[in-house]
Amino acid sequence: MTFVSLTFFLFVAAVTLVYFIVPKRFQWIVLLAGSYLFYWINSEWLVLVLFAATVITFLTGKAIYRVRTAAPQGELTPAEMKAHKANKKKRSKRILLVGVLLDLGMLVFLKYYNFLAGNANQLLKNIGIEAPALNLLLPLGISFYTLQALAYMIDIYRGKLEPDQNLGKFMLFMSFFPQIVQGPIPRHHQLAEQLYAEHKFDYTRLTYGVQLMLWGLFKKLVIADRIAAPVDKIFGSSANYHGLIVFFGAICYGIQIYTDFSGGMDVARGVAQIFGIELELNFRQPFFARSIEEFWRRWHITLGGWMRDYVFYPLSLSKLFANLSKKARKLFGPSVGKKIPPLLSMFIVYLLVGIWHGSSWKYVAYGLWNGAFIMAGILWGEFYEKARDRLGIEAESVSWRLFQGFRTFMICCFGRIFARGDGLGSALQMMRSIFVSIADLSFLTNGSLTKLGLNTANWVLLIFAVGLLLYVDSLHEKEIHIRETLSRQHLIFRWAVYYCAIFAVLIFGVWGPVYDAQSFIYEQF
Amino acid sequence: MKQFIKAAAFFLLLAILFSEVQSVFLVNSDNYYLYQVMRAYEKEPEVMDAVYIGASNVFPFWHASLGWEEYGITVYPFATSAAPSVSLRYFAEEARKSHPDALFIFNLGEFKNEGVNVSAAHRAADYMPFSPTKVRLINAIAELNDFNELDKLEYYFPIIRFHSRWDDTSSSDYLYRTKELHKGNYVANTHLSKITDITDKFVESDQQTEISEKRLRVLDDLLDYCAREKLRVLFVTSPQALGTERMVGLRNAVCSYVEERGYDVLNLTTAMDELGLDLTTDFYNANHTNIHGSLKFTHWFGAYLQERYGLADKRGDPAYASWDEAVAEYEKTISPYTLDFEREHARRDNTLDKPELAALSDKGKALTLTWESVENAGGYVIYRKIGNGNWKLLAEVDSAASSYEDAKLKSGSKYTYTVVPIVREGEEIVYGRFYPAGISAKKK
Repeated sequence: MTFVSLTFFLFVAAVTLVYFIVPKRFQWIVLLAGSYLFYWINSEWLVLVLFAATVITFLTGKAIYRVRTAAPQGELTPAEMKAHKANKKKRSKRILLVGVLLDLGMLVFLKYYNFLAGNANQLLKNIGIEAPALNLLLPLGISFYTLQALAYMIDIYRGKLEPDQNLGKFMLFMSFFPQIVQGPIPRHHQLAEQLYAEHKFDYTRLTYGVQLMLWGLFKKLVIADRIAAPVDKIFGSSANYHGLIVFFGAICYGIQIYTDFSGGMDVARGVAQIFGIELELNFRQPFFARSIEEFWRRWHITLGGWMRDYVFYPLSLSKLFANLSKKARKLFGPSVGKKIPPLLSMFIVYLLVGIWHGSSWKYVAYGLWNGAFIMAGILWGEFYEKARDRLGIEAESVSWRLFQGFRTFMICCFGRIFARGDGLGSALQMMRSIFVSIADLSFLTNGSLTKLGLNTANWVLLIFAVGLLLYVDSLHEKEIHIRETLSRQHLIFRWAVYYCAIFAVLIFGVWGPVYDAQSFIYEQF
Repeated sequence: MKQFIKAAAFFLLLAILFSEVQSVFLVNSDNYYLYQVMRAYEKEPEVMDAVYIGASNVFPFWHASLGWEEYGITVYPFATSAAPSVSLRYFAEEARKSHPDALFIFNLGEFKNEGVNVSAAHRAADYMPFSPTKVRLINAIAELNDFNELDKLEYYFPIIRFHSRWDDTSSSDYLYRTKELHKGNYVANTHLSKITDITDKFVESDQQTEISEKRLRVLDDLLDYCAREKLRVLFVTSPQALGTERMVGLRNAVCSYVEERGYDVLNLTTAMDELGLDLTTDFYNANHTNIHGSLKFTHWFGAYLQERYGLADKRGDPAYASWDEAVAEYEKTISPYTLDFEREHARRDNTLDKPELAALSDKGKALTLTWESVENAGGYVIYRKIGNGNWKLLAEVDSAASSYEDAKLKSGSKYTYTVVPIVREGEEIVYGRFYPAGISAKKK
C-alpha cells in the first residue's frame, strides 16, 4: 500500500473516521492500531523487527533515565558527589551504547550485510574465507525509525528528554504511519506530545490536510512519475546518448527525486494534519539554495538536522578532535588548524549521509561529492568571498544570487548521477561523456527529446507543471501561506481552484492500468 | 451544519463534474456507435420488433434502417465490438427494461473467445447506464477473468484507465453525443469503402469441436436465463471466414448444443451462397461484411424474420417517423459507395463473373474504359462517379462491347468507373458480380 494508491486513501479515510468517532482519550490507540495495521499490510512479519527496535529503545531509554536520575545514598562529600556523578555518567553511557548497538546492529545487518560481506569477500578472496550472500528483506522505514530511536536514547542520555512511560504510546511514536515510510525523521519532543494529545475535529484543518495531500499527489503523479520515463531511458542506456542528453537526464532526475520525495512528504504531512498532528518540514524549496551547504539545510532537513546534532557536533567538539586540532595548528598554522575538526566531521557526516542512502559504493561517492563541496567551502570560503569582492560583484545582487542558485542546482544534479547511475563505474562514465560533448547542442533541435519516452504534449505538460511548482515554491520562499490565502478568496474562485487541482491530478497524473490506444481504438476490428 | 451543507454541495458538484469529465475520456472513435446503442434503448419510444444482441458480428451485417425501408420491421442492434459472450445475457436484461416483449436474437459468434479482454469489456460496460444490470455484467466479467475488487473499479470508473489518453483526445470527445441518426447502423469508413478478398480464409466443415467447460458455463447461463424469463428467442451466427476447421467446428458445436436445448438456431456461418454473398467483394475483413455485403445480408435476414415471426409492416405509421428519417439519412451516407441496384435489392446472379477492368486510357477530352467480356453476359451497365460523389448509371451496352468512351470530361477531376454484367429477363434486369471499387483516373 503506497501513498499513491486508492487503498491508502480508503485506509486514511477509515482511520480518520474512527479517530474522530472514538472518545478522545482513545485517539492515540486508533493511530497506533492504524499504524501497526499499515505496517502489517506492507511488511507482514517484518513488523516484529520494528517492534523489537521499539522495545529495545523504550527499555534503554528508561534504563538510562533511571541511572541518570538515581539519587545518591546518604550525604556525600563533594568529592564523593563528583565520583557518583561520573559513575552515573559512565553507567548510562554503557546502557546507551548497548541500545545504540542493538538498534544500529539491526539496521546495519539488514541493510548493509550483503554490501559489507561482498566487499569483505573481495578483500579476503585469497584466504579462502567467504561470507555467504543472504536474502534479506528490509523492514519498511528502518533507515528512518532507527535514526529516530537513536535520537530518542541520546536525548535521554543528554538529559534533554524524559523517557516515555507507556510502551503503547511509545510504539505509536515509533510507527506513526504517515511518516514511517519516508520520514520526516521526528524528534520525540517535537512529535510525541502531539501524537498522544486529544484532538478535536476541525473542518478547516481537514480541508488543509487534504489540500496538502493533493499538492503532494500533483508533484508525485503529474511531475515525478511522468519525468521518470526519460530518466529511466537515459540512465538505462546512457552510453547510447549524447553527453548533454545525459546531463539533461541528470537534471530531470533532480526534478524527479525532488517532486517524488517532497510529494510523498506532503501527502504524509497532509494525512497527519487531518489528525491534528504537525510533522516537521523536510523540504524548504531546496532548489533555491545558493550553496551546497544551504541545500542540505533545505533538502531532507530532518536528516541533516539529525546528522548535525548526533554526528557533527559530538565529533567536532570531542576531545579527540580537539587534540587533532592542536596538532594541526602546529603543523599547518592556526587558520588551517582550527578548520580541521569541522572538516573531518563534515567528511564523516557526508560519508554517513551517503551510506544512509543505500548500501553501495555509488552512494558513498554521492555523499562525498556533496561533502567535498561543503569542505571546499570551509577551506576556501573566505578566499572565494574576497575574490568575489575584488571583482566588484555585489553579494546580494539578483544576478549573483541567480548564478549561485544555478551553480548549486547544477552541482546537485551532477552529483545525483552517482546516486541514480547503475553503479560507480557507469556513473563516472556518464559524467565523462558530459564533458566530452559539451559543445554539441544539436540534440535540442534534432528531435532526440521526443524519443525519450514522452511525446511533445507530455513535455509541454511537464514544462507547465514544473513552472507551477517553481511558482508555488517561490511563494513559499516569500512565506506566503497559500492555503490560508486561498481560504480568504471568494467561494467560486476557491472551489474552481480545488476542482482544477483534483482533475489535474486525476487526468494528468500517471496512474492506473495501462491504456494503450492500439488495443482500445485502433485495433477494434 | 452550514459546513456540512457546503461540503455536501462541494461533493455533489464534484460528482457531476466527474461524470462529465469521465464521459470525455471514454473511448469513442468508432464507438460513437456504442453510445447510440446503449442510450437508444432508453430513448426509443416505439416498441421494437426484435433486439439483435451480439458483438461486431451484428452491426456490420444488419442495418436496422434498411430493414425498415424494405420490410417495415424494427430490429435494433444491441451490440458492442468483441462484446464478450458473457455480456449477451446482460445486454438482454438491459434491453428488456424498455422492450420486454421483443424477439431476442442472440448472435453466438463471440463464443469463439473464452476469456474477456479488457478493451472488449470496457466497450460492453462503459456506455451502459448505471443499474443493477451493469453491476451484474461487471461481476460476470470479473468472475470469468479472475479480477479482484479493485480490478473491477475501472469498469465503474473508466477514467481510471482512460485518463491517460488526455493527449490523444480529439474534438469529437468533447462534443455531446446525443444525435441518433442511423438506428444503430454501422457507418465506419472501413465498412463503407474497404473491400477485401477473403476467399483464402473461408473454410467449410461439418466438424463438431468440443466446447470448453468455461464456454459451456456461460452458454448454459444464457440459455437458463432465456428459459427462466420465457423469452422469445432466436440464435444466429453470421457468415464469416473463420480460417480453420476447428473454429467452424466450435461454432457448429455451439449451435448444436443450443438446438438440443430446444431453441431455434440459424447457423449462417458458411451460408454464403444462400445469402448471395461474394467472398471477393462483400467483406472488409474475414469476419465482417462491408456495405455491399450488409445490403445483401439485411435483405435476406429481414425477409427471414418477417416470414418466420410474422412481423408486421409498420411503414406509414406516423409513430415511426424517426425510422423514415434514419433511412433518408442513411441513403445519403451510403450512396457514394453503392450502386442503385444494390440499394434497391435488384435480382442478382453470382454466376455472372466480374468483368476485369482492363484499362482506363486518357485521350483528348475523353477517357476510354476497356474491360474483358464475361461469359453469358447479356450486356453491361456502366457506372461512373466523379470525385467523391454518388455512383450514377452512365450507359448500357450490349454483350459485344468491351470498351466505352466517356467524352467531354473536365480536366482535373477524378473519374471512377465500374462495369456490371447483366441479363435481361423480360422487364427485369438480373445483375452479376462487379468490382465495387472500380477503376479511377484523374483527367488530364
